[in-house]
Amino acid sequence: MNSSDAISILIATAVLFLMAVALIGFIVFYQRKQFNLQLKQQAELQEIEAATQRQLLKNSLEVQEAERRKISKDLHDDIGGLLSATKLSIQSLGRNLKNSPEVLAQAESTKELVTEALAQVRSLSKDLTPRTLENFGLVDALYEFADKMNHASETSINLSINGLESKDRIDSGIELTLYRVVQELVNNALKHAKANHIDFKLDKKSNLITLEYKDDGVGFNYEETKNDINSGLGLDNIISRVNVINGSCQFASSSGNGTQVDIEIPI
Amino acid sequence: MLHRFFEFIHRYPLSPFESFCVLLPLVIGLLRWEYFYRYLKIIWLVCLVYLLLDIPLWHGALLKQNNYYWANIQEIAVSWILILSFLWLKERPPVLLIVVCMIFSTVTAIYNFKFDTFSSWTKVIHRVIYIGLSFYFYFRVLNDLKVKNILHYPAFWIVSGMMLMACGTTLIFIFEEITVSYSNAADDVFFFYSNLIDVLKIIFTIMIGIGFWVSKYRFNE
Repeated sequence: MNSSDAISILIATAVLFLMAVALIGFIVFYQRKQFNLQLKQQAELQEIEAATQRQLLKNSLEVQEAERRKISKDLHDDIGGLLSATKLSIQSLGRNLKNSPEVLAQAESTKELVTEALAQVRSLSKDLTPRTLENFGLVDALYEFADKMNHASETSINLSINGLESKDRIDSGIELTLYRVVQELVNNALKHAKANHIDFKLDKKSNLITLEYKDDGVGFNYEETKNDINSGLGLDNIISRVNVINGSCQFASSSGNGTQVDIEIPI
Repeated sequence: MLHRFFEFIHRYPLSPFESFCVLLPLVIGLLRWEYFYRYLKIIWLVCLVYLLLDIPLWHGALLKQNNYYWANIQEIAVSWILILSFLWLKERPPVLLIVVCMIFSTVTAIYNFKFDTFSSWTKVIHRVIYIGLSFYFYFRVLNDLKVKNILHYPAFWIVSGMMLMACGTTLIFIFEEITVSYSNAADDVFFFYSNLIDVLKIIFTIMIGIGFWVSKYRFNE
């Protein structure tokens, strides 16, 4: 190249070209930066929404538990009291009717009905609020629940607990959640899965509680059941309760292969 | 003819490469055709026009006949399609702006059309239009933030290739008398700038190829 004009044009062209390259580089850098910022903001927003959702769910569950406690107390104290008084009154009536065997027999029969009603009211009251859980903790409440279900149904429930002793206490919210989840899982196994054996394994480590559930029932399709408005509520309840206390829940099930549920709750 | 072809390659080594380089986006385009939306199909058409109008250019060159008018026709045809292609971008400029650009381009092309040398001012006006439209495109991309991964956005690669080609060649054509005028420019200067134009066109076609290649990715996810 022998012309100084040509060299000047070359330099100016090179400058213009490099400016275009720099502009394109800037566009890529700025767009990615803006986009990452947008992603971060979206993630923060989602986190806030999830936290609000969890709080709402927690409040709703607390209200539900308070309502249950109130109904349980009313049943136990008021209706239970009335039924006890009725039973005593019938007993007293029976003593005054010794001369009238027919009326006496009727009074005895009425007394038995009242006794049964009283037992059912107490049982209902206990189901609504697990008093053993409130008074003695999760371990005793779960053993009591397993015993009761073993006696009441043909399904055998095997419960194994590690890292927790009788009367050991953990956070009341976690205790109640685990108890309710176990109740829901057993109810599902008895009502829908037709399981013969149910195994629970509760394990407490230093910062984690795990609950493993296994049954040999008919199993179910997780996605289908979860999206089914009628049958998905039980699963939703379990997932919601576990989410509220920052836990995670995994279901493994397919038709004919039983069900396995793994729950992890940080403590 | 073959002898002349080799003689031509010896004299202008980048020219055949520049002409056949357009096959790259054409082939990639065929491979990725199922992912193409209308804008990419139009850019693929630009590549095809480049290839087809290169045939008479080569024919003229090998027969040592004047082929400048074919180069000028190629420039006009390609520019019209490139300017119109902006209408099918998601970041479409106002239609009125495209219409004004088209009118301006046509008037300049007719007024400046030359048979025996480059229509330099037509090329300059087209490059200024490309740069302006590219700026508008970048502004919309940054402003709308609809594109999530810009490197997966085909239009970004194509418009950037166009921008680089336009920025690199504008001054060359403004000072055509000194740089690429066959009759006035010094031989070494002429060959240097001819090769530079070829390199910039190769960059443009490679960037079109990249744009076609990334079309299978979802840039907004």
